[in-house]
Amino acid sequence: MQMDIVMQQVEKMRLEDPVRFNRLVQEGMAIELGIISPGDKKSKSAEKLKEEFFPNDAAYREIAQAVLDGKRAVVEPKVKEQIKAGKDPVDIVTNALMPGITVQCEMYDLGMSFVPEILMSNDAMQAGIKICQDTIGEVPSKGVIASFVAAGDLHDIGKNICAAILRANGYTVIDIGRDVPKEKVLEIVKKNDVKLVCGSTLMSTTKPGLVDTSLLLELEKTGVSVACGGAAVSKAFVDTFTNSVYTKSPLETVHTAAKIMEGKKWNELRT
Amino acid sequence: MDYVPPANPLAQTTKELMEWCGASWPKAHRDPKMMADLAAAPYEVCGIEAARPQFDISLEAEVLGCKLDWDKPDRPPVTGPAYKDPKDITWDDKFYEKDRAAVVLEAINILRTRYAGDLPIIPVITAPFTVAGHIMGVEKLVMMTVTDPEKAHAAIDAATDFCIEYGRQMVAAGAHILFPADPSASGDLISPETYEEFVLPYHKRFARAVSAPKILHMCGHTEKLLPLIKKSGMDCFSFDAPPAWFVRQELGNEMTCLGSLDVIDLMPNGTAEQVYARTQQCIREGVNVVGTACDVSNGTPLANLKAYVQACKDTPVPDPADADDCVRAYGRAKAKYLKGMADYKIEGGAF
Amino acid sequence: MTRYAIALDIGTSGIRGQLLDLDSRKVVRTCITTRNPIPGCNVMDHMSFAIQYGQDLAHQVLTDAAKQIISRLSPEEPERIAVCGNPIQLSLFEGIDIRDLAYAGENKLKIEGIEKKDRAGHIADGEFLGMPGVEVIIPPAVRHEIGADALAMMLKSGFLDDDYCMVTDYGTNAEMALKVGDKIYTGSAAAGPAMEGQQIGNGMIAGPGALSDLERIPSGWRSKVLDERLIPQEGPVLNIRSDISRMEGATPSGITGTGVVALVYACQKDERVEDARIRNDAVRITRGIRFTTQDYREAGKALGAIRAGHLTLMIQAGVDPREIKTMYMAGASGTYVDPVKAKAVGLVPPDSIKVFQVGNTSLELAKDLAFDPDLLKGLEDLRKKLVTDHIMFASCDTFRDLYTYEFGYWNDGMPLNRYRRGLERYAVEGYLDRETPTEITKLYETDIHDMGESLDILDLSPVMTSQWECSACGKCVRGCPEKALSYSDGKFSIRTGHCLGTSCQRCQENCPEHKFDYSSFRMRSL
Repeated sequence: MQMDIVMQQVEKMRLEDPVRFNRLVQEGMAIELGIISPGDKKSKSAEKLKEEFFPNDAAYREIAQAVLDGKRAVVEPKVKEQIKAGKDPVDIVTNALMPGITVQCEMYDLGMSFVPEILMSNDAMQAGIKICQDTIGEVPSKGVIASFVAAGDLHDIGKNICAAILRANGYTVIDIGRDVPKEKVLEIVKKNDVKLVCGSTLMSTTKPGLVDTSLLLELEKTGVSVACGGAAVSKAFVDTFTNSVYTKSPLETVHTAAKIMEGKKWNELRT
Repeated sequence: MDYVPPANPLAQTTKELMEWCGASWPKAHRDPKMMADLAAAPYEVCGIEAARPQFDISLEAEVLGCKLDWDKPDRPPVTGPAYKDPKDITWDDKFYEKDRAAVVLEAINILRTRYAGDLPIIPVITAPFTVAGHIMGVEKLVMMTVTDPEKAHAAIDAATDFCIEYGRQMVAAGAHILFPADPSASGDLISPETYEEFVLPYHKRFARAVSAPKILHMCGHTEKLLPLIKKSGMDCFSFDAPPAWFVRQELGNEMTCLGSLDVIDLMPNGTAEQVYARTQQCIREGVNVVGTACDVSNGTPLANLKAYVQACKDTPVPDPADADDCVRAYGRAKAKYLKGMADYKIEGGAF
Repeated sequence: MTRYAIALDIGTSGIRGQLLDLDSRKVVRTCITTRNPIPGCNVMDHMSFAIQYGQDLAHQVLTDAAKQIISRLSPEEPERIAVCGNPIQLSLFEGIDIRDLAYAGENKLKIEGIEKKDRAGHIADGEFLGMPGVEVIIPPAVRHEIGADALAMMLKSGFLDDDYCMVTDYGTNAEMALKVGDKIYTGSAAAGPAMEGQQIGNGMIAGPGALSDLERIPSGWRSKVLDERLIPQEGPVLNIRSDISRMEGATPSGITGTGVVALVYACQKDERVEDARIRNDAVRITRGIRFTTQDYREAGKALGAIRAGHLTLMIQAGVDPREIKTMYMAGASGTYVDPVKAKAVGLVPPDSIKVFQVGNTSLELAKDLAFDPDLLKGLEDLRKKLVTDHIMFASCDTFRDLYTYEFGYWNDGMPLNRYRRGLERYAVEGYLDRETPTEITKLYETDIHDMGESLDILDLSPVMTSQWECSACGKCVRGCPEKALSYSDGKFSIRTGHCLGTSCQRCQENCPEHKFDYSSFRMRSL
């Protein structure tokens, strides 16, 4: 190993980021003296991400941490407290609740957290958002998305993960639920300012539900398309009917959502 | 490598492992396939990354003419010396083609073929001073170092010739690393001066003559011998009693070290958590490989062996190419300096 | 003149038939198919094929296959035929509407005005099989969701006579039941084809050349490969820790479901799996045959579904898992899998000390009915007495919660500790880590224990055809993953047994001219 190469980096740090340099020296000393133990990968990632995304305000930080921990019972009273203290509910959503789910989704991408954590954080965040919505009505966001599982199907883990990740990316998600008939989707779309619908199904028998829903929304001239995903769904299948786009993963759904919000239409998004 | 390998080259012939592969004493000393199976069993069952054929250190003495007590078939001890005069020391030119030496070489071959080189084969080979002690009588030899040094040298020299021949055969058969064990040279039995005159030169000669990496093992208190061990030409030192941090300090970056999980109490009687914690401690104190202090006792539970492996896998080691880790290391050095480590003296051993 | 009867078990992975001599009450011979003739690789696919492309078509495919088997078994018309199987297969076989079985959610049923049918035991006329006057005996379903095959599973295994026990039919649907005193809890876990080796890259149904098990030897794992008589022979030696395989003995051509269980077991035991990934991507068994990370994850979905199902039953029943000490393993996979390995990977609860491998219970019940049609009345009485609590796993929160952990563990590499913590909520700590000795009682050596004089293996694949004008570019044929589609002289033919049906449809989707019409295919008349 060429020692001078790594020493160059050390010198660079010492001169350009002395705070960090000193912190690492202190860390080394603390490890040697047995005060702390060398961290494991997971807590290191969590710490790094929190530094990046978490708010500075102590009360907001607590809320973000509670979302990250998936503790709905802690989120609810703390959000209420902040509203009582006169804080703007929009601010709470953007700067206290969202950072929690953002960090959780980043950890999920890194393979540091898993489906149970996402679901619990999602749940906790939703509870907080609901309280804010009850106070002021609409909470502004990048856009409103409705999410459902096709009629006849009850498997919704995929839908819930997708909803969590969309929320982490700043969208409002109306979760219609599972076993949802096309008429119900239409009703929700009409009643709310929905810009995109996400539909999923795990079983091949219920795939037609996605087709029917896409076509109904088109027929009623809603201007809203359906992003289709789920284990039973493939690109080739989605290409066989109109007013729909295939999204393989939650991340693709996020990209699709962004393009829809820019004004693109489903046929422009088909590759 | 981002973790310290759990490559323990001390024998792990525990009851459970022997049952698992159908091995028994004394057959495991005499049947190449059984020896190979038993040597690989710690790997297959626990994930220990070393296979250690040859389970005893009396083999060399037996080849050279000593009688062993086979009533203790797991580690048959030498019953008595074979020579009065080192000039008489002799062995068959083709000793490695028959009896127990051939069994070991065949077992090495089997392992090399079976794992296509993937599993490190680290056979033990008894080192010259200990071999000379067996064939001349240990107390006799130690006395000779004072009363008749020339004779002592002659005996150890002859033993070295034998060890080199045997060692070379092991390498030719496919061993990756040799594990010379020299318990009689430990600080409990001889003084550093005796070591310097009668042990060190022969370690050096052996190290030069056999072209595979070598891990020197000495049980007991070797604190005062570390400066000499550093000069032996061996690649790694496997230790027993000295604290790991002390071995690391003494050896600096000039020699790697391997150790040291206690086998009297910790391994057979301790809990898996205790073994895990101790392994982590050894890694933090700076060993290159964690291993046991000596051969593992028969009743050592599998759970403890597995805990040792798991701790090696779980404990990250600093990356010398990472700037952050380098700065932290600087912090650690500062703390060591504060603790006054450079001036630390250890008293240990009879001398 | 000897009087004959036929017993048929129509399963998702194949049809098994036996010719029975009514006078001597003996099995004359057996004929089994290597696949179910309806397009699709699990019962959901069969169902959606039937619903989308016509239940008549599915009915025709199935009856044609049955007719082939029957004529293979005996040239003469039998006196009667008894059939058993899951409600979907049985209904399609008979020509009964299956839409009430198709949907997990109630909303769809309500909208379409579909009524749930009472599938009682009855005797139908064999006209639909081309044998008017021949009685076809159909056993009852227990309830809407629990079919005749589940009834057979509970009855023929010994489960109903025992207590504090469970039974599972290890197949694509993994039906399971728990008995606590007089209460029976049932559920089915849609385990998917991984149990039968069909979503596994080199997976195959148990047949000659299938790797069916691994045996631990000091130098690694000795694989067992089935020969022409389906008897395991020694095959390659695999060292899982070191990723070395030594070709010896019989050469495997695929891996069966029980082989998958053995591979999962060996990979876990030898620490070859980290974070739901097989180190070095795959276990290479022999040239062209490997067990990949993807295979491991598919298997994990099935194994996780079954373990989550077992736990759900016990939690819903409010019983401590430690009290359930007996497991009856039914079905082909249940007969051939090594119970010790099955327990270690989660297919059998950790507290099941007594394990009974009971063979193919569906066929057994069909045989009983063929010999003694009067048993039908007894079965009707039994079903009325059976008070069962059926737990629909898809809608059960407990199952969803547990399966989330299973999915995380098997597919995402979620640490087991996380799962352990999740279990604390249900007061079933220790479930994942307990180990108990296993007392195995294998009732029979093979899942069909009495084959009679011979075993005939039919590679059955009825053909459906269609035609249209197109450029004959061949993209559809080349893109078929199972090589089920062929083209000649303007005519397209699909071998239905090989076709993956509604879950695939690559042929239709790949057509650049959008001319391919899967719905236009019809059975080629025999």
